Amino acid sequence: MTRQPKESDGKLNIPQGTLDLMILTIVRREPLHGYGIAQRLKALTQGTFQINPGSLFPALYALERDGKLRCEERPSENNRPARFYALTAFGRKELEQAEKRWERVTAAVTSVLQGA
Amino acid sequence: MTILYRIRALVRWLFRRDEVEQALDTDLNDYLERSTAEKVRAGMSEAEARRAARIELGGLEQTKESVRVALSFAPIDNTLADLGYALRTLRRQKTFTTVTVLTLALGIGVNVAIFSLFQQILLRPLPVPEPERLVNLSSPGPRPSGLSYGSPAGGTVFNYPMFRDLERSQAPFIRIAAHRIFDASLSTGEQARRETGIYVSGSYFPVLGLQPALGRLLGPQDDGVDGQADAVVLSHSYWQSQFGGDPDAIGRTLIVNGGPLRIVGVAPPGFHGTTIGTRASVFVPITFRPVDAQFAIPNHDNRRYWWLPLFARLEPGAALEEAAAALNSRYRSILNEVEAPPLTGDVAPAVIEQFRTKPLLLEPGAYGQSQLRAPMRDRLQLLLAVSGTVLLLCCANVAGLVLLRGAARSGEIAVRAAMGATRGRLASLLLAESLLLALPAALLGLPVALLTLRLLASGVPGVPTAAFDVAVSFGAAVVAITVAVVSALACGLLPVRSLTRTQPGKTLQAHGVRQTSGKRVTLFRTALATAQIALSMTLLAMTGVFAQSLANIARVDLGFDADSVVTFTISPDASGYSTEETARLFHRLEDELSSIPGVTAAAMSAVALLGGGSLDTSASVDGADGPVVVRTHINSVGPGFFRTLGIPLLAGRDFVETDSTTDVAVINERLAERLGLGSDVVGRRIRAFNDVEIIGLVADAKDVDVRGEIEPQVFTRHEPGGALNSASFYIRGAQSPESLLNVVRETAARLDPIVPLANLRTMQQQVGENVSTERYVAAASTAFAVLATALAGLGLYGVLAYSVAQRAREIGLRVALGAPTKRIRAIVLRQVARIAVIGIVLGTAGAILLGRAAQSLLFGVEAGDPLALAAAAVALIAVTLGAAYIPARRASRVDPMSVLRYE
Repeated sequence: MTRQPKESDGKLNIPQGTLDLMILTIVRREPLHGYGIAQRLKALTQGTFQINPGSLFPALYALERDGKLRCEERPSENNRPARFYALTAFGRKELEQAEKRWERVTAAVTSVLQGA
Repeated sequence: MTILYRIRALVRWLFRRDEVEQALDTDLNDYLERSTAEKVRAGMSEAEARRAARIELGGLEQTKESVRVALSFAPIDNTLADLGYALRTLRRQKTFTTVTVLTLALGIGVNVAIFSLFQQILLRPLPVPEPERLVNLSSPGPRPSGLSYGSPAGGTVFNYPMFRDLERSQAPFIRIAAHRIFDASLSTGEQARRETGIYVSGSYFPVLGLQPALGRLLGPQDDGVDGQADAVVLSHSYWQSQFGGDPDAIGRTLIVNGGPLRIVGVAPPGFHGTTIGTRASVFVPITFRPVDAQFAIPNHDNRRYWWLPLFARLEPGAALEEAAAALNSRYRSILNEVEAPPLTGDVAPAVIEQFRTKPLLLEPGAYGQSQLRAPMRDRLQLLLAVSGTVLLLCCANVAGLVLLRGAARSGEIAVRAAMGATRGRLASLLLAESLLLALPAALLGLPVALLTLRLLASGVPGVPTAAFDVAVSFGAAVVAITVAVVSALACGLLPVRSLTRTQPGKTLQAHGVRQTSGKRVTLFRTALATAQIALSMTLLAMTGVFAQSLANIARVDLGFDADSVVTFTISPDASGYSTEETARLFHRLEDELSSIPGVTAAAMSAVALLGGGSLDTSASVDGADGPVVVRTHINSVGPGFFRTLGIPLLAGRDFVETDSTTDVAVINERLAERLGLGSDVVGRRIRAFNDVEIIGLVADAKDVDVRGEIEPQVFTRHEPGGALNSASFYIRGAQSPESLLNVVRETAARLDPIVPLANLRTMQQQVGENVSTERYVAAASTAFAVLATALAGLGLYGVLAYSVAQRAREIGLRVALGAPTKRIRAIVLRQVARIAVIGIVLGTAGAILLGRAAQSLLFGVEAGDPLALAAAAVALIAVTLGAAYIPARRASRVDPMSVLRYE
């Protein structure tokens, strides 16, 4: 099992289910390999979330299994084979719905928090 | 599109794991390379960067594993793994597996067979549209002075004119049909075959709402004139078996009991009439035959001849109550205006009053009508209860075995639990094993069921072989699988509960990885064994009671001398003989049979003695306070009947050739007593069907069945061929039964090679046949009880062996401290005694309850008969001691050194 980072590290555990959402958002723009996705995640969250490969890859493979991502294998710069993840039509639909859901949830939670 | 894509992806992930592994390698290598390159760019050395990248990746294998975990369909994988593991374990333990599967298969098979019988005969409504709108008619109450043929109880038979009157009265809301089963001799010109036929009214098929499979069914146009019929409808299976399903059968001639009828159609498949337990091959218009004999069926104009069951269908939308009211008012007016007036002066006014107000009852008829004398339901329910008990025993045994083995594995289970297996995972492991045991058992159960059915088909008395298919229906097969799965769950889950509750820490601490403690397991095991003993006790005690009942029946005083007598029945009319030809044949048979060397007497009767059937009528005599009316059996017999059968003539004389068939009668003591005739019987006149003078008084003798009370009986002089076209003959001879049977067969064949002899046997065999139900029940319950006791013995042995193994340490310690062998054995025996005592007490209660339910099958013995209970208890104690023997010996031979050293 992978070691879960402590919150006292200044880094947060990713809320359940949000990792998928973030991965889908990242590959929406262009197909990307695993390392690229990891880097993009780190950059986008400004280091708030700790994403190690031990949690990234299971999520990627599960998304591919579920048909939300598809994978293309093509040689990268130095002629090594690399796998590029891209969004499927189904994944796009899922993402759109998830975004809407997310917006509603955050809006609701925010208003509750502000009201309190 | 999306769905297809998803399915493809799923399939790929499920079945092409090597691709996944490759992809993982590619991905992770790529990740490492890129990460390393990045770090080198940031200023690290090549080696340093590679190391850092690996650390960041968190271990190649671990990452791969977490991907595998995320992808694996854990439940499916686990189940497959469990099944594989279970399969390996079971294969290793061949004896355990075989015993368990066979035990379960036996239990399941027997139950499926009995259930299939039960379902076919009792649970299946008639194969007609809206069977729930059918009602059976009955009219309980007096039926003064008449003949009743067939089922006289409960007023379920009517006379033919009453049926026609009711039909003509056109009561609203309801349509009535009449039918009557008869023995049919069917031929298309060659050899005749005996089959069951039904006389049906023209309204029969329309009321049932059936459509023909071929041609047409019978209708109102077919039963217009009494005594005339020219059409016949075949049952689908008779058409298949005798005509090979040939459509050209329509229009051909079928000779039914000597009368040529034209085949007009075939009934729908699966329809064999509406009488429970019978399967008719042909349907003949009820107007089939002219009345040519006093007792013959059908009889179209005698209002005192009760022979016709009626049923009806409620019109759509009609309520039962309004239909009953409408029909009853018409029925009463027919009784009052037509049937009651001729009775005046003949029958006591009070009886006439009862007769006038007899109700006409409408009872649910969706399942057809019951024709069999003894209620078949009782018998089948008893069988079902007993076989269900055996299944329970089988399950208990299997549960015991699984548990026993589970206990031996409790070390393994504790290790699994300690390693983090959840209770659910442990349960699923044990359940997988149970299912693997149950499914082959269910499959094996089906042939067992077929065998059992075949065995049953070869003779359940009172359940005609023809009444059911020797095939396991789809429904029964579904029941088999369900029973198997449920018993698997029962067998598997009960031990799971107790096993998974064991605390791994304790188990491991206490005994190392060798064995368990687990009070709960022991308790459960003990309870199981006790229940088994109780069930065996119940069945054994029942067996004892049935055996005793059978012995009582064998000792019954029949009132006649059945030794050295042979009997047979002959029905020349079924071979198309006319009344005159029948009369001639009967006369010659009487003469020839009497003149066989060694034969001392020969005689005939209309109703076969102990043949299981009777003719009923009422006898009356004018008493001081008006007429005395008594219900009585009536039989017509030839001269020499009483002498041949050894029935003592107490006063007066026997019939002679010259006696009138209508003016004189012989009665038995019971009738004389019921009629209050006093001591001076001979010479008195009574009314019994006709006005007769009593010429003789005979001692009481059984006539219908061996078990029943002796009924009042009246005998009239049999006129061969005149009244009845079938007769039974009785021949008493000095020779051995075999040679007497042979010479009788030869004599009859010489006289007439065409007409077959039915039921040719010794009178003793006739008696045996008469009590075949009792013999069958006794045999079946013995078989079940032996099976049950064997299972219980096995189960008990399991408990004791287990408990000895478990207490080996304790026993070793005792031995080491100097306990004598006797004392050690006593430990085991005490446990046995407790189980046996509790089991026997519970079983006794069960036996009494079950016996009460089966009281109708018992003769001269009560359900709680002490002798039967004592015998069963002794047998069980013997079995328990037997089961305890090996474990007790093993306990007393425990070697303290080896046991204690192990600790």
